[in-house]
Amino acid sequence: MTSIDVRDLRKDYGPIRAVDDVTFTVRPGRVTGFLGPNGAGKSTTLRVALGLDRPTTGRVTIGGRPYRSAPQPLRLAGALLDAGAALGARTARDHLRCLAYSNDIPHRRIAEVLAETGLEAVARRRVGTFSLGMRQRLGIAAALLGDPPVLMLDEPTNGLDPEGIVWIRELLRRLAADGRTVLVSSHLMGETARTADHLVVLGRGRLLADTPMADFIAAHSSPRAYLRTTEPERLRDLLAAVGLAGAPDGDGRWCLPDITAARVGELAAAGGVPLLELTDAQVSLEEAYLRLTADATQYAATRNPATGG
Amino acid sequence: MNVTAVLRSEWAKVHTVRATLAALACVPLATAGFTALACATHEPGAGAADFDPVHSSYFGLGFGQLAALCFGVLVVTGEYRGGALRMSLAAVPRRGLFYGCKLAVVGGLGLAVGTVTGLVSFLVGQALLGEDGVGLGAPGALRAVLGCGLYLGLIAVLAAGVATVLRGPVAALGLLVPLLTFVQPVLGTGSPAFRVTRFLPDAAGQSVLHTTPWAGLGPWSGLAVLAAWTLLLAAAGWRALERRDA
Repeated sequence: MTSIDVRDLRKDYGPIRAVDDVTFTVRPGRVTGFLGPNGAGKSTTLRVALGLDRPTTGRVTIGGRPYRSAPQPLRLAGALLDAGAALGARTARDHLRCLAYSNDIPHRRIAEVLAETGLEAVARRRVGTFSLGMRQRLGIAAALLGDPPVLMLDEPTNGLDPEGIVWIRELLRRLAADGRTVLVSSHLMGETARTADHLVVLGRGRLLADTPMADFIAAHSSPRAYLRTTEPERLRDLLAAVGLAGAPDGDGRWCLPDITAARVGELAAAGGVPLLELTDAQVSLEEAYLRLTADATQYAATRNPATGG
Repeated sequence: MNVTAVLRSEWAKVHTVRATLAALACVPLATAGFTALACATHEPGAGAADFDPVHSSYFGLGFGQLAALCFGVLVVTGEYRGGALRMSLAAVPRRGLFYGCKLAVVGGLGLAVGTVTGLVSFLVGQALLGEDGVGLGAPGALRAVLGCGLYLGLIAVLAAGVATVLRGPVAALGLLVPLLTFVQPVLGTGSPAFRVTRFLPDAAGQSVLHTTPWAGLGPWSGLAVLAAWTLLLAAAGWRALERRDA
């Protein structure tokens, strides 16, 4: 099994601690969303995983070994880092060719990944003339080049048009369905909610969460129930009796915080209040994420005022 | 990882970028071109007693060397633009292998193009020297031709080493060009300063082109001094690359 194992990872850049004793495992067969505010340590973790940065303490292994020791590293893990990371003077095809040679990757893979990423038509154009979206696709092509069982993509949706974002979503789902290990960092909560099965959240270098998506949302949000009733007066009294306050909006729809639909249903049935509609609100990942990171920031700020933002 | 694969990749990186190929092509063009200019104005038979026909064929080497420096610098600094180094090191994470193969390609191409430069510049120069011209069989002639190749190969590797430390082309060329093309020629061979400046990489290495007695080092000891400079600066590059986070 080719998991990514991050163990007790710490990385200091001078006096700044970018990653602070983080441990988690990214497992194959699912898309793992890698979240956290800017400067949380996501990119640093990925760079250490690829052997680009040396950890201060701890280690990252891929499939049980350090990335650096892989005989053909591009066949073990593919990575997208800062929009392609290619020299502008080279054509897209030549960029891939230079990478393929170094890892003994068969030539046909170049054509395959160019087709996969929709870059066939511009393969002979210099990378310097590419838009951000095209560079992003080239970076993904490079990540896929070695047909690796592990993929680490740092903000792959950056600069992509809506069509490209849909393409990335389907690509990630497909790679995970193949049984690959897919770690994707993103600031787009809506996209992450649609693609990821599991979440790893960092905040100020610390691990804030490592849970399935559904558990994460449930843990970091409070329930809300929506309902309609024909007897608002009686319902208000009923709620007041259990310490809840509520009022209908202009459309006659009620939104009750901190209570589940099931509990409201029980109360209404016991009180004999007819309900026309009763549902749990769908809490968004964004909401849950912002709540978690806001708490974490506050916690860190009160605990450690000296280190600043 | 295997060395052949990484060498192939490094060679592909050189020949897929026009600027590095252009710099390489300029080495023989500039050397032979400026040599031709100098030798075409030579008056046969009017030369001084210490006239060195072989050395005259390398008048243009100072110009060709600029191209060799640019070549060595560009090959390395291309990696530091647009984050390309991260992708390169992701593909070849063993930095010793990566750096070694890069320098081998730079040195190998420098040597090959330098040897061609040595031969072409020699033939062009001698043809234009008229009756003062000599053949490849003349004492020291073949040594100069091959020495020119070794000289340019070492200079290119030295430039790559410095560029790895400094990372930017402006900084690297800003240091290398004055140091290797101005200092010794401006101070000249006559001044007392030459006792020191003859050990600079350019003056020492170019000793191999002299066939008549001169104030500098011997042909092979001079080249050995250049080789020591190259080794030192390549090692400095290695130390920087090995220690830094990419």
